[in-house]
Amino acid sequence: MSRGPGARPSLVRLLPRHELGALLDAFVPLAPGRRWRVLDTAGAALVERGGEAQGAADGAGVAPLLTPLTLDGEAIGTLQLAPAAPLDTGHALLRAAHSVLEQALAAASMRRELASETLERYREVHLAYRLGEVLTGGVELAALPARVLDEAVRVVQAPYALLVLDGDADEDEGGRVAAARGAEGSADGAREVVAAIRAGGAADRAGIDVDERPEAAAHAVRLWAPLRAGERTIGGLLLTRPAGSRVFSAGDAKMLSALAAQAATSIENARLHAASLEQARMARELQLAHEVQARLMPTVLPSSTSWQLAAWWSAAREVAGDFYDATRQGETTIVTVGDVADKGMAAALFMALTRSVLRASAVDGRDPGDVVTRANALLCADASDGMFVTLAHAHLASDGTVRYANAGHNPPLVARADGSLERLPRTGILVGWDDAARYGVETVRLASGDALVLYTDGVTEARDERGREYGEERLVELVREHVAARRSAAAIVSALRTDLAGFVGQADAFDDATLLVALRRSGEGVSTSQVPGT
Amino acid sequence: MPGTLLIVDDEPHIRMLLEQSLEELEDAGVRLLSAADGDEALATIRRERPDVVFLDVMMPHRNGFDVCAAVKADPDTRSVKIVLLTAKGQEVDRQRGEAAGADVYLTKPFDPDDLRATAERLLGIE
Repeated sequence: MSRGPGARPSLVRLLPRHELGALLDAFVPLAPGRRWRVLDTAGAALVERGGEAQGAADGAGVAPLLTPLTLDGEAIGTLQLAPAAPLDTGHALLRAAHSVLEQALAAASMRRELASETLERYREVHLAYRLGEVLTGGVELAALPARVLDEAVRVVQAPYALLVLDGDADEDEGGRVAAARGAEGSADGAREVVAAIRAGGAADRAGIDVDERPEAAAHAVRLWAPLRAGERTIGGLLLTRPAGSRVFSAGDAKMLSALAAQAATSIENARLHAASLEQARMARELQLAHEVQARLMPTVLPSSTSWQLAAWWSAAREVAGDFYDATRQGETTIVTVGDVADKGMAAALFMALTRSVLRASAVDGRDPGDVVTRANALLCADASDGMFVTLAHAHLASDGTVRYANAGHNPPLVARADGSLERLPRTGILVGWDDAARYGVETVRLASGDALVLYTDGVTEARDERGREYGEERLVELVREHVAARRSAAAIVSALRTDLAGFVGQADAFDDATLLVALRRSGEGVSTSQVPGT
Repeated sequence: MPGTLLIVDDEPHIRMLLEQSLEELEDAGVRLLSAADGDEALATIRRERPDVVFLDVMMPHRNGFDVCAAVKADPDTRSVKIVLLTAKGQEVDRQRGEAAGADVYLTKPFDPDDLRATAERLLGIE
């Protein structure tokens, strides 16, 4: 702890008793029978020399000669010669001894000041050395504030210390308490102090003050220093002592400022480093997940002589919750479009699970309702984190019969070659909600040239730059027009993609979008159709 | 339970720095003594029985290791805690200090805060 410039050392700290005594010894022979004393400011004798007998000095009943010992104009003790002698010799002797003592005190004071300077340098060197070790030693961001505070209370002793960092925009003015040392429960009081310092516009420089208000007693003596990273104040350090404690010194402020400067840079660097690491990690993870997920979508759709398939899938983020699937079982083509009720990684994982469970459930000629009922029971057992998915799941027979289950999904469209249109209503609630849920089956028959269109709400709820929705009507009109014009499934999907892209323009995709078209035909031979890309 | 602390260094300037670093302990009631060489140190330790001694290693005649060994060999003074002060980076000195029975080992240039904290710890002052 450094000593403030205002703190006057006591006489005995400047000159130890034996040195004072040695100085007085020179004057003893000059005043035979008389007694020299040096008293401290409280009047207690620090040293006594000369005089034949104890008490002789005072016994004569004559007032002793006194003269104050001063340092920089302040009294720090008294030199006494007793009993008083004839005025001339006594005063002259006293003056001489006084002069010698004061010179010795002045020299001692200067030595002390030089020593104080040296000690300050020592402390600074050690602080820099330790900070170098502490702050650059691969410290994690979370641990830095506590380390910094440990150093702060080490170099500037204080019973209470607080490190505040500016939080996000919605944090209050006091900032976030990143670390505290000292009495529990004092954080609120200290936060108020931080807020007061900021309100007073003193957040950008170190400061010392004493708050005289009774309610501030616990943190009355204050020292603070800002944490400045470049031109920005990213927080601050506050050290407090209770009312009546020694006021922090300019040296304390200097030390804390030096520490704060180093700490702020380290904290900011650690923050930036952590943020960029996290960003890179997230980007890598999402990219990987996107690749894995894209691989789960069929690259080749199992078209047949009876059904021509085409599909399109687009992720709003790197990872989507939408999916589609198409498989063949004997003469039956099985198609599914699903939408997990979320986006991001968790939704993607649930989507992958749903797709696998559905495939595993669609065996042994189960009808679509049973398939979804079974998949729902399995997914409910697994979906502990409350994920839901809406599904349109259809089995397309080669004779044009479509049996389907609609689990909470927006109604698939059946667009007839004659221009008419039907919507296939729900046959059950969304999957993942109720493990006992049962899903019904509905049947619809498609003639040659009719199309079944499965899609997710990412298509109809896509928004343009002004926030307007694409809407089901526009989708219906487009599908109807292209089916009536006898376009292929791929052409219908392609036309819709083009129209949707034109509509959305530069607006950010908010949701995933998926579209699957199954066009009934009565041609010969089995073919496959390529997915137009994702 | 403030006690007595003895500072031993033959360099008057270093001794003053040590004293000044530790003098605030006097406010807590600790008695500070000093000695300028190994012989004076031993005499003071036997006479005053300090609780803690900050002992410079490099002194003429009787050096810090010798003083430390003598203190630790004497059943009457064995309990005196010895803090050896020596030049930074002298690992050999540290080993010699341990062999001589030193309780703590601090390197010069000393850190005033370390010095005070060490003294407080050894004296049992909060």
